[in-house]
Amino acid sequence: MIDRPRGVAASMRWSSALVGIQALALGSLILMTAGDAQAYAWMIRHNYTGCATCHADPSGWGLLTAYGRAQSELVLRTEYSTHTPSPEPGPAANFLFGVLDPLFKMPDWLLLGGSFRGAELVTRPQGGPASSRYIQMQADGYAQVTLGHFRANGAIGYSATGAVLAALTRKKYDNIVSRVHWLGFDFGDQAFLLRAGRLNVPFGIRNNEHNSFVRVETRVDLNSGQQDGVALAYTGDRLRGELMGILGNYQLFPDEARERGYSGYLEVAVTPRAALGVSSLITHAAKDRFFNAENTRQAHGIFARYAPVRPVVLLMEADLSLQNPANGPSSTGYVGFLQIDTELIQGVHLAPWFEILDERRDGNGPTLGAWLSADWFFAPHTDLRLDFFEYRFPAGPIRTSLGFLVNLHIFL
Amino acid sequence: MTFLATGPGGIKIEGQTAQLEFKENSEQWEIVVTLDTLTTGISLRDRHMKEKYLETPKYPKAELVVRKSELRSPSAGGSSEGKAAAILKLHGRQKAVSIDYRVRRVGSGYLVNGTIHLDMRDYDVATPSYLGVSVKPNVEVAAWFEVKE
Repeated sequence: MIDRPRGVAASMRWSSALVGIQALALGSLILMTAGDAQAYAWMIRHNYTGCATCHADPSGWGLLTAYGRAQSELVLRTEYSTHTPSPEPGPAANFLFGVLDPLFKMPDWLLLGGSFRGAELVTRPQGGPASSRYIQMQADGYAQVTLGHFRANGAIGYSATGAVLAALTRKKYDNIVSRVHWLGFDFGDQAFLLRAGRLNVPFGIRNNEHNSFVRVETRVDLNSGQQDGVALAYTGDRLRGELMGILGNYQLFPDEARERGYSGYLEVAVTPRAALGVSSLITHAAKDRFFNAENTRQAHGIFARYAPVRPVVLLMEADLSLQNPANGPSSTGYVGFLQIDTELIQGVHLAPWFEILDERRDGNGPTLGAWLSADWFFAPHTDLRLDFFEYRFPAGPIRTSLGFLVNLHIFL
Repeated sequence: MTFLATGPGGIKIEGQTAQLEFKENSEQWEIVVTLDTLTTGISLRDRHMKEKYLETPKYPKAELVVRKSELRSPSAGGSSEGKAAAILKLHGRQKAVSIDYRVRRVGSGYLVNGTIHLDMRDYDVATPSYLGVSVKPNVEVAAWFEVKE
């Protein structure tokens, strides 16, 4: 798993990630689950193959544009009233649900937002008692200032546990975090955005589930997997992509633990509701956090999003993961993810999803995960999500583990 | 009938209707679409499209007129395809357009599909814009229907 306190992770080898996943399932390393989630790749059901219309991040995540705010009211949440046909989004779509509207009209050059996510996690390992724990997953504020072609964007928040790779402070708990902060310049009629700073790493599907195997194994989760670097994003009618030169996570110490290299993806919209993409990442660290040794790692894969009918969206990703540590043998593992998001009525989602991870470092075989997630966007900018999951481990003291997560998400 | 409009950030607006009327006389084909039946999947967007841009209460129909002499008629069991000149009447304006068409003979009738590319500005349709996101003026329209004799 990705989030580990500085100095602790150094003693862990990557091959022990399996144990980390077991620990997650057990809830014994709750800090790993603290996280962020505001990227809805299934919006392709509404013909949104790109992300830049609704998000300040051209590859999706976090801070919403004015258009994105309106869409969250129009197509994301459950509509209860049938009295008013086709209503305008109303003040609830605005920052802080519009409570500041009488005092303050948001100028076009300013975007403000925020996100709160709290969860209760219940887990029960094979043969063991169930345990539960509250997790403060996210409490972040976002802002972006746009002056002509220039943009300055940043997020700042509080994390009780976890997200230490995004922490600005140096405490074991109760840290101030900044997941992203960057300066950007757009050109080509806003089709291109060049950014420098701390960015979400462009790779694969930007799915909500930051602790899914694909995000953990490729180390590009939205919780704290961001890196400092320079990235160029392109969003066209049918093609979009982003390539990032990774200079390292400068909120991670010491410097030798920082990964440097590149990451990128390219996605083509085959139809308005079907998109295929490829991703590639190569990084090098003088002292990898997991291997405690020099390591060059690679991840290369494919992903797809497809809505055969509007209520159903298939999200798929499959990646190869290569490790080449100086203190051990090289390995080529694989990781996969398949999610079937079904919107039963507007705002009510039911999504079974399945994942597989085999690092192929110990010969034990793959770890499997099966999830059933239900998410109800029941009020403006608010959703309640339930996750039931089971992990099956190929080896170790615990071979299966069940869990249940309920979380409330409010985005301002 | 469907249409596809695009905008910045990869936005795609796909509209559709099944309300397509076919008329024929000795010289021409006329295809009429009732614009008020178009839907795009988001009801507010539909309302804006009809009230602010297409102004369907004032201009309820779009009409495409093609002279038969522009079309190559397929032989029995065969098909033909090509480009044809036509006139599109929309939003109170009319303009010559080029159609890419394919006609397939099925029994005594035809299966027809065709596409046209139009520029909303040619028909004085205002550029749709919402909260800073403007749709591009070029729209691709596709239609398919069966003609029974």
